[in-house]
Amino acid sequence: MKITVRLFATLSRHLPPGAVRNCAGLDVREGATVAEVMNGLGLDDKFPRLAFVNNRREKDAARSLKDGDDLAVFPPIGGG
Amino acid sequence: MAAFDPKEFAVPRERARVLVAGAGGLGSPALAALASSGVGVIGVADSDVVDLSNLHRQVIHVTAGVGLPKTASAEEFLKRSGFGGAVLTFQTRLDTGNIMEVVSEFDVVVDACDTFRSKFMLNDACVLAGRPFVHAGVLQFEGQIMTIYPERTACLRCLFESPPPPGSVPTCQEAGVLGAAAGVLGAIQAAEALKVLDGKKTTLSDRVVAFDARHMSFRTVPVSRDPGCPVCGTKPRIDSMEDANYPPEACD
Repeated sequence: MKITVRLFATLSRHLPPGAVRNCAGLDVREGATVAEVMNGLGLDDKFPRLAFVNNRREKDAARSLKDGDDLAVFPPIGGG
Repeated sequence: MAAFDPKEFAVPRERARVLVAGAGGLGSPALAALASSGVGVIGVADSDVVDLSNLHRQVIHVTAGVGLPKTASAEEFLKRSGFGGAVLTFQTRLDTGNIMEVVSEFDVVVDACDTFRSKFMLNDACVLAGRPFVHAGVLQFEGQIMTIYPERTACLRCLFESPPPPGSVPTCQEAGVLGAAAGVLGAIQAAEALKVLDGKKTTLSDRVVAFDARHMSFRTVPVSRDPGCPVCGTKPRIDSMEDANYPPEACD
């Protein structure tokens, strides 16, 4: 199935080639979880992050995604 | 969570006390905007001295001030700008031993710190002291901002339970900060602080704005309090300022 992934700020370096701005289309297995997608992009499980699926906050990394879902992930930013 | 009236945090401008924690990239534009806002007291906390490499983004400091404590340089700026209120300076690193006392002196706090450790410490101190604050972070071309009413709206730990592991995120020194990006975010922080003091309902509470100067985009995402939050949740494990909750960062 195909999903859209949006990675912001310091996470954007984990986007696959071909990403436009902060956004990329991604082919993942049917029923892939938020954690699986993030791990597949090289995002460390222990890294704190704010995730949204279809613009709703998703705290459960074990949630299964559906075809066409939009996953957006924000990191904390510590600079000042 | 029950709705609340932001007017419970309102303070008349002329009596209002605003703390800017950090007089660097975010603190400088915030102070510049607050200087002419009519607030009664501006506090500035910073332990650093002005360095030549700061000047591209820390716009209140000048070449002649290189080597001065940032608090002294900021106070000079406020006086130069015609700020008519009182200036309180804290030329010290805010730590678990002093931060509660400092934030408790103010009506609203601007988080212009430059480390995760400081930001999480400030979050916890403001929540525990019941002080509203305006969080922001900036790195390279991007930043995030959110206004927090303690135990009323989502705090930093409701979003991110803890700071990222040391070394997992580049620092300002490693990655750099676009001065203009810090300028945009710091100015928004000042606007938010003033809206808190005015009791406005339209602050960035329970909302995070992600700003990207590269694409000049502002993306707003809704957030909410987390009942499992370690500092403002239903069973908080952080109920006082303890060093163990703030591990040193790689560059500390």
